[in-house]
Amino acid sequence: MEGTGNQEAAMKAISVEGLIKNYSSVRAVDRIDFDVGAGEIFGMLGPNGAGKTTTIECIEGLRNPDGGTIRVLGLDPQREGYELRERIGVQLQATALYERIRVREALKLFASFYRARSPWADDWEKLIEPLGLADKMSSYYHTLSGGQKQRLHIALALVHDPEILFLDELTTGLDPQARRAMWQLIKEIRDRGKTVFLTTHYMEEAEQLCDRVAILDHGRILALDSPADLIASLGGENRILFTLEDPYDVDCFQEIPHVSRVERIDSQVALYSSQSSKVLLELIKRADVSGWSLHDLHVQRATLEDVFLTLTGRALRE
Amino acid sequence: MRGFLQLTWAETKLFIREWQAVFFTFIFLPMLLILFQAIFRNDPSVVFGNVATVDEMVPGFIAIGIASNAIYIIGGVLSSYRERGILRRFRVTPLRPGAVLASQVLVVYAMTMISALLLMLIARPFGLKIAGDPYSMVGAFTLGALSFFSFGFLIGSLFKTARITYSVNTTVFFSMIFLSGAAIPLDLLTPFMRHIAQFIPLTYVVNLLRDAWLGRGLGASWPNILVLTVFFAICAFVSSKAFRWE
Ligand SMILES: Nc1ncnc2c1ncn2[C@@H]1O[C@H](COP(=O)(O)OP(=O)(O)OP(=O)(O)O)[C@@H](O)[C@H]1O
Ligand SMILES: [Mg+2]
Repeated sequence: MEGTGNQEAAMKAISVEGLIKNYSSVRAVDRIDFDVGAGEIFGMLGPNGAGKTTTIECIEGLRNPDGGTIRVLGLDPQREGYELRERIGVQLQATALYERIRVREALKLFASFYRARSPWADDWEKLIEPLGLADKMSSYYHTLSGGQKQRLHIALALVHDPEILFLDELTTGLDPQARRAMWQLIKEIRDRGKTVFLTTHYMEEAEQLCDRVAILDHGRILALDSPADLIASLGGENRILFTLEDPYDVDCFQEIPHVSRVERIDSQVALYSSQSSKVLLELIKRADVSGWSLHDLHVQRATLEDVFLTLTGRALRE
Repeated sequence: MRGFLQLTWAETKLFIREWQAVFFTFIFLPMLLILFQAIFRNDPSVVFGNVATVDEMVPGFIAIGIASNAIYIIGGVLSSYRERGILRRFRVTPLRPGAVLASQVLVVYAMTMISALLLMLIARPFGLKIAGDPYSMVGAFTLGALSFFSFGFLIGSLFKTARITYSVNTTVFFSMIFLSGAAIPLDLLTPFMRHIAQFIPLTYVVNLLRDAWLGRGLGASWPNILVLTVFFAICAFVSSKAFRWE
């Protein structure tokens, strides 16, 4: 009996139940529940002000929740904060460092805060190389670019090889190449058995990187699943897009088998279907018969953006 | 402990890299002392009650060093660390809050001590005679420094932004320098200003240091010790209540 309980607790890195956080009259987080399994990359996706930072910082023990229970590695972040902080690594959304500290000094300094000896203590380059900062070891913090600072903060979250890594907007300010490199790095950390909890407002990041995603809006979780299942929940529909200048009748698209919906904006047409290849064949056949020339014909997979749109009626980024 | 030591080491380097602090503590004050010596010469003057000028001036300048480091470094650094989120970043590590404060105090204490030694060294060619015993001098210095450091923490805790803290600091600092007898002998002030000086905490540091340096003994200085101990207790209590990590 007890064995099962322990095992269950061991599988869960984080569990949150009924979390509430108010700022004066504003309810920033409104009774949310979720678990994060050990060894997964868990993402929180939501627009500005959704409550992502509030949630992640309550879990880290930086903010006091107004209700609910949080357990991280079986510990209460409020009462057992020091014990917990030995085992987690945190990158805050808004943070800074001494202006005149060198990268190497910052790494050493942060490593000294933890009981466990840093696995990189003899060779900081190994930690910093994948983050693209190897040639910056002796640079002052204030001479780093925004993206380099961001990457240093991620290195500082990793110095003690934590069991859980918390990343609040990890790729904000990174260029696309650095962003992909970062995703790769985070996946490697997960593959070493670590748990990663991150927040993002890039749906592509959530889709590419996360094992499971919670979609957050106005302090509530609207959906929580793997990106693939979230997208599949839309009915697995793809979008067939093309431009058609010639005169046509909408009904002739609507009556193509398997087309569920047709959208038009000027000469742009979008057909929604879960059987896009069959629709495509039929569409080309009809175009041939009617003598239409279809420009810019392509098929678009549904994304988390569409999931968000369906759940809230708004686009994620406006 | 390892965290505390590393942090102290880092803070030491940061202090040295911050040129304003180094300039004021290690260059400006000694230069000012030399300048004052050139102006006033080293005659036992009536204003100083027959004490050689330099012997009065050195403890006064040491008090200025204490006040400036307490107010600008401890007060200013704390609010700028908080404002920039550095303290918040430390809060998500196992580092104890006390370690941050203690390392700050230790570094600034050591730097102020070095600046005091430097002032004494520079004053030697001007005929500085130290009549006090080292224990009373260190004791007086330490009480003066700690009471003012807790005052620095108070300022750093009360004001939200580094900018406000800086303006408050400058006002507080200059009124203290001129009204405490640290830079200008109190006997030169009008009776009204001398009355005001009694409400300036730095006055008591200046008096305590002079008593210790001139060999009058700490026993004779008990009113200063009493005032500074109470001042320390009040500042420490209020700042521990008012202190915010973010
Ligand atoms: N310290 C605070 N005091 C008052 N209100 C706050 C505070 N922090 C956050 N809020 C409010 O709580 C809500 C959620 O904020 P939060 O920072 O958690 O959002 P977020 O999802 O992280 O947004 P972003 O993508 O912009 O980082 C917002 O409406 C915000 O204005
Ligand atoms: Mg945020």
